[in-house]
Amino acid sequence: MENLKGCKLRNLKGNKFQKTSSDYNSSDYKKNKPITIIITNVFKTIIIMGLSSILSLIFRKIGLHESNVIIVFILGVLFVSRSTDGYVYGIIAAIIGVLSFNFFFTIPYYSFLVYRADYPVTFVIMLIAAVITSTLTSRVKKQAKISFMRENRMRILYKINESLLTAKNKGQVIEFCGYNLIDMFNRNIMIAIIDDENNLKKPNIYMLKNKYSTDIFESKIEVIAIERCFKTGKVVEFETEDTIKGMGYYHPIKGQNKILGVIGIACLDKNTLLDNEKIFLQSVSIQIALAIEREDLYEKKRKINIETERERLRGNILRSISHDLRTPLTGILGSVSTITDNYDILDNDTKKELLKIIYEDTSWLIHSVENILSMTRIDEGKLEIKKDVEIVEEIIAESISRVTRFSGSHNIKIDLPKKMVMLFVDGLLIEQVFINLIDNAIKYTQSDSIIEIKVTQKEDKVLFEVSDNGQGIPQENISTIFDRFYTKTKGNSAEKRGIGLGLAICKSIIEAHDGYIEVFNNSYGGATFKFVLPAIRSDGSDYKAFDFNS
Amino acid sequence: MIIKPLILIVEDDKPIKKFMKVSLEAQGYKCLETEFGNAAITLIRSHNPDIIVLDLGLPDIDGLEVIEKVRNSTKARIIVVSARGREREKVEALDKGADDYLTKPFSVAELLARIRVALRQSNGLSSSRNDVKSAFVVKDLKIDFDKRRVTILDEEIHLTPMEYKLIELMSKYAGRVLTHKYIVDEIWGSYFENDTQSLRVFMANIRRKIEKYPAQPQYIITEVGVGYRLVDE
Repeated sequence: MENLKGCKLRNLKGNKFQKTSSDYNSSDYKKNKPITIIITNVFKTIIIMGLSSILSLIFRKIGLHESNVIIVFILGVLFVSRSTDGYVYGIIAAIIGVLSFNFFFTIPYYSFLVYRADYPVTFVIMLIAAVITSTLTSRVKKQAKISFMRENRMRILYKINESLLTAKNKGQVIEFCGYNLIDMFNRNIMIAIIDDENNLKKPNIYMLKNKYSTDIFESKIEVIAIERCFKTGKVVEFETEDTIKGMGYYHPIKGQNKILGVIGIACLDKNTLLDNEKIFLQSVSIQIALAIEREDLYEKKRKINIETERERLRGNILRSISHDLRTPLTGILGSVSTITDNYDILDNDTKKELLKIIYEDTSWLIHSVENILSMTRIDEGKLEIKKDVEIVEEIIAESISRVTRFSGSHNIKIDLPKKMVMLFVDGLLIEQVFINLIDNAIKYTQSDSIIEIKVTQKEDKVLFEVSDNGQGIPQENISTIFDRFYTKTKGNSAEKRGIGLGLAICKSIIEAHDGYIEVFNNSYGGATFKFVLPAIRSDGSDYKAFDFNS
Repeated sequence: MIIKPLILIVEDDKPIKKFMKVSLEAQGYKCLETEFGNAAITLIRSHNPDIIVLDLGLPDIDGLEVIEKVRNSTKARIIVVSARGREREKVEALDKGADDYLTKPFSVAELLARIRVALRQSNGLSSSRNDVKSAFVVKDLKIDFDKRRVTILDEEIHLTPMEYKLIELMSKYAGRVLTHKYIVDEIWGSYFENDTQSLRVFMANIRRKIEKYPAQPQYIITEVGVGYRLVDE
């Protein structure tokens, strides 16, 4: 929904741009074809002055004073300078006006001769008045045009700026600019920005629809030009560079202390950019630079925040771990020193008992250290998961052999589907999940309980269930059981210790594999941990190397 | 007089070295020990031990280097010791000529089991190199090489020719871990990374035929990330 809205908005903006830009372009358009412009201007001048002459002739017929005629001619000059470009036509019109006044309205009529001595003065004054009028008018017109252009440019810049503010990442910044520039220039646009290592990334290219379908930016010459623009931080265009005969105009995006990227505009068919377009491009490039630097800063801040958060978490974990490790270590140290100090006093049974405690404590330590190691692997942010094709029964076999190495009298039942199940996972991590879940079941149930591992495949996913027939999990704990440092606090098995990382690790591992884990109490007693992993795609391309029945 | 087998322990961690030595000597083996790779090389050349227990992380030179230097000059069985998660290192050591490996942390029982396997192999190699065994038996599994028959509790198991070739190869080196690369090289002749996947599927299939509970295998043990081992006791 959000996206759709943004899209619509952009389209609207786009249309507006189209409109303003076409206005903008039409005034420039004439300069490109001077002959037609001159002809139309001359045509306008002649028509307007002709009309003034006819009007004056009518005035003379009616018998109005000739001062009215002079005013009509000056009015004609005013109209000419208003409707033509530049002051030249106004001056020409002024001269035409004076001449036709002389020709038509001074005695003798229809000749350039004059009899009255004051007429030359009239002519001169009339000429001066006409010229000043025309130049003033054309200057005002020019000013108006310039301010219109400025206003237009400001408006477009403002629009770009506004759209850049809504951009959420660098990609969007580039995208918005690309579309806006296309609307502005009606040419193909290329924008390339730098990546984190300050190398120029592959350019984003925005093409006009239906027009100039050839993509010039990927040719060798253009790539060199882009590279040069990026290296030197100067504009590169095909006219100024002798060595580069490219087709594009490249403008660097200059940041505070480095070049952030390059904007390229296709100039096909020698259709170069006008000066004010270049100025405009420069302003846009500054806007982009500001936006990119803003995004960079934001990104940096975000990273720092994550880093501090992770650092804090790591500190917490370290504190709790060192506390939890201290307990068994104290036990080991105490037992050992008891034996060594009282070796001759203690009877063999006591010694054996103490040694058994040492053995159990160290086994527990080893198990905890494995968990901590898996934890650091996941928590380092790098998410160092080495996925490979694994066979489910191998993973389960390995985990069971590693659990039973340290623990005794529970019955583990395994229920596998007939068909071989394969997964694309990090074997060691999934193994750790099984070890933790089985170990958990052992820890919180009486000895001789039954622990059942069940695997089922359902279309595109594989379901794993580890269930026990113990006491189950109190309802109020189910929601928090996967949190870090959760340990079962109440109940009969409270004296058994646990770091409380095990289930949190399971959750992280399963989620890193695009799966999910959940827990529920069984209707027949005990709890079931269930997790689901995506099944391997069955295109079987990996296994074509051999014919299995050969 | 029975000659006690001589075992060289190369391990830089003193407590581990100590408990290995004590437990091995308690079993009646003779032990030599050192912390350094270079010293180990000298000791191997001068004493010619039967078995070398070699930690891969040594203070002076890499354990892999020790294997490279002594492999051609000694018939000793080399058992490398390395941490969990360093499967690549183990595979490399096995490919360089080590015979077996132990993963830290390991128990005394595991260590002794590996030593027994290694001794059996070195005895078997020196005494009966020429008489080809006609059958391999472990627990309920029996492989009859002449008839190319595999039975469990005298019940015949139907294996495809390729599966038979695999189990025959493993029975020849029973008790030892065979790397994926080694098995693929032996069976198919050339090694591509991808073949490992196919091998694993073959192995899983064999296991499904001979194991009662494939997830708690009695015969074919998967050494994760390294290879396979057919049990021999």
